[in-house]
Amino acid sequence: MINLKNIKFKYKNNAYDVINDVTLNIKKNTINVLLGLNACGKTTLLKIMNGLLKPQHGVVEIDGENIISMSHVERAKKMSFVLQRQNIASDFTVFNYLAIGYTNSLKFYEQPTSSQKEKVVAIAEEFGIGNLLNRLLDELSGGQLQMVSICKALIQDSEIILLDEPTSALDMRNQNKVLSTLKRIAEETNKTIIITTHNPNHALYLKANVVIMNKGKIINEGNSEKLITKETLTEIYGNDICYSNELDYNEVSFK
Amino acid sequence: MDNTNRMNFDMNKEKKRFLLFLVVGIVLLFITFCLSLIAGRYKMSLNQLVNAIFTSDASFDTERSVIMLLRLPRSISAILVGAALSVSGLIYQELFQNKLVSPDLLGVSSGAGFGAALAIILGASMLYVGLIAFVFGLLTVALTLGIAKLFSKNTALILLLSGVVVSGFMSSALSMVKFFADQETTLAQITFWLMGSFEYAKMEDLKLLFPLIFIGTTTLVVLRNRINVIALGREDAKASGVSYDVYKYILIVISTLLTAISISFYGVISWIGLVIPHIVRLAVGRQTQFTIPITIVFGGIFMLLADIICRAFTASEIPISAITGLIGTPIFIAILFLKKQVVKLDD
Amino acid sequence: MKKLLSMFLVVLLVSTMFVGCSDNNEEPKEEYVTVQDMYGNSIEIVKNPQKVACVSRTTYDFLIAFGLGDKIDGVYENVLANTWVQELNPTQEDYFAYEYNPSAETYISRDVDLIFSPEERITVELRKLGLPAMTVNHYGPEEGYDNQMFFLADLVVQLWGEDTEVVEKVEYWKNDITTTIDDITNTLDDNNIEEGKSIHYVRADKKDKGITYTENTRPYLEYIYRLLKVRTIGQDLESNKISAEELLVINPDYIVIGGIYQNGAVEASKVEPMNKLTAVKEGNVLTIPVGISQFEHPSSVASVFIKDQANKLYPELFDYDIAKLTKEAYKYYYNIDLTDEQTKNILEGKNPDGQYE
Repeated sequence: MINLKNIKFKYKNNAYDVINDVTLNIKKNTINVLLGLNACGKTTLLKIMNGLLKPQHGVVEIDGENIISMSHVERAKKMSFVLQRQNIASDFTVFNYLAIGYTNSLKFYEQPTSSQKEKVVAIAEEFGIGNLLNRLLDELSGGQLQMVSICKALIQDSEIILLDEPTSALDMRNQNKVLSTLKRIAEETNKTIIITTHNPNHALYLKANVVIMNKGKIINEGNSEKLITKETLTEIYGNDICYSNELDYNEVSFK
Repeated sequence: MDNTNRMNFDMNKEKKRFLLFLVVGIVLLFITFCLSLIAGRYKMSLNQLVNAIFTSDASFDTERSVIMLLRLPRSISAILVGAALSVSGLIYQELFQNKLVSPDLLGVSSGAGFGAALAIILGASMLYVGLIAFVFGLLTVALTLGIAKLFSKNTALILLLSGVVVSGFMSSALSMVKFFADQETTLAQITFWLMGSFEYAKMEDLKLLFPLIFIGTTTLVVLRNRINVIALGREDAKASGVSYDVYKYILIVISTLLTAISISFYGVISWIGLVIPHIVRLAVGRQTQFTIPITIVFGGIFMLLADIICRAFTASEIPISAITGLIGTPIFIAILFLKKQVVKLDD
Repeated sequence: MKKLLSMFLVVLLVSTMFVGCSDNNEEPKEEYVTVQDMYGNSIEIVKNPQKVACVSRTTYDFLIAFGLGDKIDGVYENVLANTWVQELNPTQEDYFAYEYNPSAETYISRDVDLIFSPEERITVELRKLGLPAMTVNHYGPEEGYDNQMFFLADLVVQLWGEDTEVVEKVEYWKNDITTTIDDITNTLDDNNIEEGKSIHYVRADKKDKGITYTENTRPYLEYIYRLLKVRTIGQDLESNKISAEELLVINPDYIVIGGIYQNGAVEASKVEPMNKLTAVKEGNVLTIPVGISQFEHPSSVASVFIKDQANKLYPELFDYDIAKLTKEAYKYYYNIDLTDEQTKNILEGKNPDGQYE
C-alpha cells in the first residue's frame, strides 16, 4: 500500500539527516505504530508519507504511484492526516470543522451538499460526538478534540489514516478511549492506520505492526507481541525498563 | 452513550442566519444607496428629485446634474471600494490567521501613498497619480514577499514582519517626498490624498473600477469554501486536499489588487478593512462561505454611510479616512470588548 | 540615547545663538528701530537693513517697486519661478532662492538683517532663535485686512525712511491707492450700490483641481471685494475647499479665478454640473491678471487690480483703461516698457509666451 524507498530528509538549517535512509512497506488493512523517543523522526516520517514534506532523496509510493506527482486532492482522497497540533482553527464549530472532511470530494467552487452535511451529522452521532457539533473547537477538552479530529478523518473517507501522537496530552481514560476507537475502526472497516507514539503499550494494546525508530533510522519492524521485548526496548529506552506479562496484555513501565 | 443526551443539532442554522443577514444587508444597501442620492448639501424636495430622475424637464437640470454627476458616481464608487477593501481585509485575516490584519498589511497602502506623493510633486495629472500609486503599491507588496523569502522559514509571521518593515521604509520614503513638496500647494494635496476622498469620483472611473472589483470579489465568492479550508493553516489545508501555497498566492494577489485599485482611485482609506470583517463575524460566524458575501455587502453600506457623512454636513468635504477612523475605532473596541477575545500575534 | 541627542542639540543651538550675538556686538554703531508687525508684536530691527529675505510672496515686488531691489538677499523660490519674473527680471540680479520654510541655520549663514516670513507659526519659531523675522502675508489678523493695506508701505518708510526717493515712491503708491478707493467707493455710493452680491474666489494654483479650491480666511481679497460691494463666500467655510454641492447651493453671483492655472479652472467651470451655476450661465466668470506679482496679492499694482475688478464687476459704471494703467505702473515702479503683447498677456493671466500654464 505505502512504499518508502531509501528516504533521506534534512531540514533546511540542520546539519544532520532527520530521516536517514528509511525503507518501509506498509500493508493494506493493518494498524501500524511508529514507535520511538521524541525527536527520533516519527512525525517527520509521517509528514513525508503524506507529502507535506518532500524528501531530498528517495520516493514514497501509494499503490504504486509517486506521492510527489499526485495532486493534493488525490492525496487527500487516499489519506487523512490527524495533526498533533489542532489549536489553530479555534473558532470553528465542530460541525464546520468536520464538514471540511468533504473538501477532497468538492470542486473548488462547490459547497458541501445537504446530503453531505447530513452525513457529517450522522457520522458524528454514530461516533459519539453528536453532542459536540454546536461547540467551538476552542471549548473542547483534549480528548474531545482528538475524537473530533479522528472523526474528521473518517469523514474524509480515505483508505489510509495517519495520526500524529493521537494520545499525547491525554489522560489515561481518554488515551484508552482514543486507542479503542482506533482499534474498532481497524476491525470494522478496511482502513490502514498509521500512528506515532512513544508508548510501547499502545502498540501492544493495538496488536499493531510496530516500526521502532531511533535517530532517523528504522531499527526493527514486526508484530508488536513478538517485537516488544525487553531487549529491543532497552536498545531505545536504556535500562530503566520493566516488562510484565501479568495482565491480559503485556505491559511496559518505567522505573 | 453520548447519543442518549444528544442535542438537537440544526445543521442549517448558520445558513439561515446567513441568508437573513444577506437579505437584510442587500435591502439596507439599497436604502443607503437611495439615501446617498438624496442626501447632500444641495437640498431638493421629493418632487424635484422625482422630476430630475424620471423626466427630462429642463427646469430640473441642476438637480439632475447634482444627482447624476456628483452623487451617482461617488455612491457607486463608494460601494465598490467599500466592498473591495472589506473583503480584502477579511481574506488577509483568514489567510494570516490574525484578526488584527488589514488589507494594507503587506505595504500596499504605504507603497501606493509614496507613489502618489511622488507623482504629485512631479506635477503629474490625477490619472497618472493613480497609475503610479497602483504600480508602487504592487511593487511594495512584491518587495515584502521577496524579503519574506529571504528567511528560511516562510511562515505567515515572517510575512507579517516583513510587511511591517517594508511599510516602515515606505513611510519614511513618503516623509522624504513630503519634505520636498511645495508647502503652499502640493503638500496639502498629498495630505488630502493620504486621507482619501470620493469627491472627484467620475462615471469614467467605473469603466475600470467596476470590472476589476467585480471580477476580484466574484472570484473570492466562488472560492469561498476553499478559503475556509485555507483558514485552517498550511498543514491542515494540505492534508484536507487543498493546494495551500497556490491558493495563498492567488488570494494575496486578488486582495492586493483590490486594495491597490481602490487606493489608486480614491486615496488611502483606513479602518474599513479591519472593522467590517469583525462586525460580519459577529453576525454570521467564522465560516468564509458566509462571511465573504456578507462582508461585501456590509463594506458597501459602511462606506456609503461614511461618504454621506463626509459631504452632507459641512460646506467643505471631510476626508473619508477621518470618518472611517472616527466611526471604526469605537466599533472595533466594542467588538473586542464583546468578544473579549485574546489577540494572538503568532501563528 | 534620545536624551543625549536632544541635549547635544540644545547645546548646539545655544552656541549658534551666541555666535549670532557676538557678531552683532562687533558693530556697535548699528541703529535699531522697534516696529509693530501685522499681529501687534513689537520687533526690533536694524535700521536700513541691507540683507532682506523675501520669503513671503507679497514682499519682493514691493521692495523692488520702492527702489529697494539691492537690499534683497533672497526670494521665495516660487516667486522666482514665475515666468514673468524671469522674463522681465526687473533688477537683473540673481537672488538666492529660499524655500518656503528654510532652516534657521540657512538664515544665520546668510547673515540676513530681516526676514519676511509667510506664516506666523514659522515666524514665531525663528524669533525664538533670535532671528529678525516678521510675518507679511495677504491674510493679516482674523478681523480682516482692512488696516493692513499700508502695512508694508509704512514699514518701508520706518526702516529706509532716510532715502527720500524711497519715501517719494511709497507716498505715490499710497496716494494712488487712496484715490482709487475713494473714487470707486464714491461712484458705488452715488449709484446706490449696496453689498449683496456674492463672489467665489477660485485659487487655481494647483493643476486639475476644478473650481472648488479657495481661501477660507478673510484675506486681502476679501477686503478688496468688500470695497467693491461683493461678499466672498469663502469666509464662511470650514476649510479652503468648498464641496461641489455646496457651491451649487450658494450659487454665487460671480466667480473670480486667480492663480497661475486659471485657464484650467475656467474650463472646469464649463463642465457639468458647474455650468449650471448662474455665474457661469450669465458669463460672470472673472479672471485675475498675473505679472511680476499675482494681482490677487497685495502688490505694487494694487490700484490697477482694484480698477480691473471694478471694471469687470460694474462695466456700466467703470471704464478704466487697464492696459494703459498697467503699462504706466510697470514703467514707474520697475522702469519696464511693456509691449502691447506683454500687457495683453498679463491681463489675460497668460505667461510671457501668450500661453496658459
